[in-house]
Amino acid sequence: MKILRIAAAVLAVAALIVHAMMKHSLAGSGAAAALLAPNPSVPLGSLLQVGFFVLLRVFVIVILPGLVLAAAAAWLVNRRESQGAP
Amino acid sequence: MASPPAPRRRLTAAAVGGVVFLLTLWLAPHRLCSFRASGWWEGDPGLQGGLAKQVEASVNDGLSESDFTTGSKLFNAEWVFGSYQMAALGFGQTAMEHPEFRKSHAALMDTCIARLLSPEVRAFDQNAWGEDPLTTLDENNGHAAYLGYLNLVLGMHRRIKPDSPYCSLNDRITKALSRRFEESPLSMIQTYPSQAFPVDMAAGIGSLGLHDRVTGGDHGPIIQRWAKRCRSAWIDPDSGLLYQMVDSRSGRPIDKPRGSGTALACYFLSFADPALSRELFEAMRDRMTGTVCGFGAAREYLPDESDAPGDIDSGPILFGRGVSASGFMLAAARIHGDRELFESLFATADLFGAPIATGDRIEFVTGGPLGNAMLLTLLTAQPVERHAGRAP
Repeated sequence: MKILRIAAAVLAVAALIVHAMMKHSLAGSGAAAALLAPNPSVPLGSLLQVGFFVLLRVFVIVILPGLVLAAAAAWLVNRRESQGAP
Repeated sequence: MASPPAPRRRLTAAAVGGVVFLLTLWLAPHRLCSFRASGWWEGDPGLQGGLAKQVEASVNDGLSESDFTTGSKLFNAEWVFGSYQMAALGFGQTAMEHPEFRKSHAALMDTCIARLLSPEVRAFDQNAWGEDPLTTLDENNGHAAYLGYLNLVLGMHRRIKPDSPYCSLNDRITKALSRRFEESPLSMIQTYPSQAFPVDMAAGIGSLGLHDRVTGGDHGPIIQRWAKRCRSAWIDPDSGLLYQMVDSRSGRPIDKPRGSGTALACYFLSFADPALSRELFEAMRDRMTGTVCGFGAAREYLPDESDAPGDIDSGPILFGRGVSASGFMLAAARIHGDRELFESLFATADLFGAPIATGDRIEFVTGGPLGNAMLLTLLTAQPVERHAGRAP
């Protein structure tokens, strides 16, 4: 459990930092417009950058809060039961 | 009391963790993303003005076909036109809602209109038809891809600036469109040669309605004739959705009923025929929208056609939900007063659009110039009751 907690914390901090960096690097670039159209000539770099950013944002907002709270709840339950709480 | 054995403890912890994860997924993310939805719904001038500042920067920098990469020269040119057109409508709507914006946004609309009228921006329509849309207003070709959309902007400009220098052009285009609708036995005009799209006709009809509201004119009979034709021939009787494309000669549907065209037509028709706009909205709301963990989205195709492909109109389609249909429904929900739907759709737009505030600007990072201009228009679409009455 301890290693899982550390991994979750490191992942959360890393995701937030990368999320913030990507946000600012993409602002004003218009690169994401590439996602809106099916087009083989779109530079792969732009597509990957935007795709990665969107996926990361979805992870940070949709998945991460649940993971953190679930890990915390599981840890609390485990500790409570291991201490033999009534 | 002795503690339970380790395997049982781990199982209990995993079960509790799983339940907490699912509860959090169900309750938290959409609330995080719809945090500012109330502000947009209520017309917060800070939010509207912030996005308008971002769109203003794009407009002042100037847009060209090279800013877009659709893979089609025609679509790139349409997107330049669409960016200025949507920006202008957004500036107009925010000026209607907040009189303090009226002077500056009227000037921004001037800039957009100058670009919309420029030879390079209207070239896409000229190239398709082999004739200029503005010098042939006395002729009969439809030019629906250009004239209806432009005329909506001119009407909106006139609404917030009654002494608009474009009043005469607004009158001339209105006269040309109304004559073309009137003279067509099927009450239809073509977008491009041999191509007819009901949603583009809806833009033209909307511009006639807006002209009436601004000038006190009466194109009611032409609007009602078109609406009757639309209900009988261009709306799928089972779903209530608008067919995307119809045969340019017979007027018979040649594409499926679709979400993007229906939702956008709902917006355009709010200027001319609120009842028909409401019918399209209710069909979309009842048949095509839904939520996943609180995030709202609209389908592009009916559920039994969920494997149909996406295209330039629909944008990307994910699990049957279309980007365009979902975005256009933001406007439809605000127009027809459905706050719950608006907030759920906004949560999705926020999640994937990634808005950030920089200084006094708000930008949807993944939107680009067209996406931000469209969101300005869609998020500030005016409730249908505000269309009533004439311009101040």
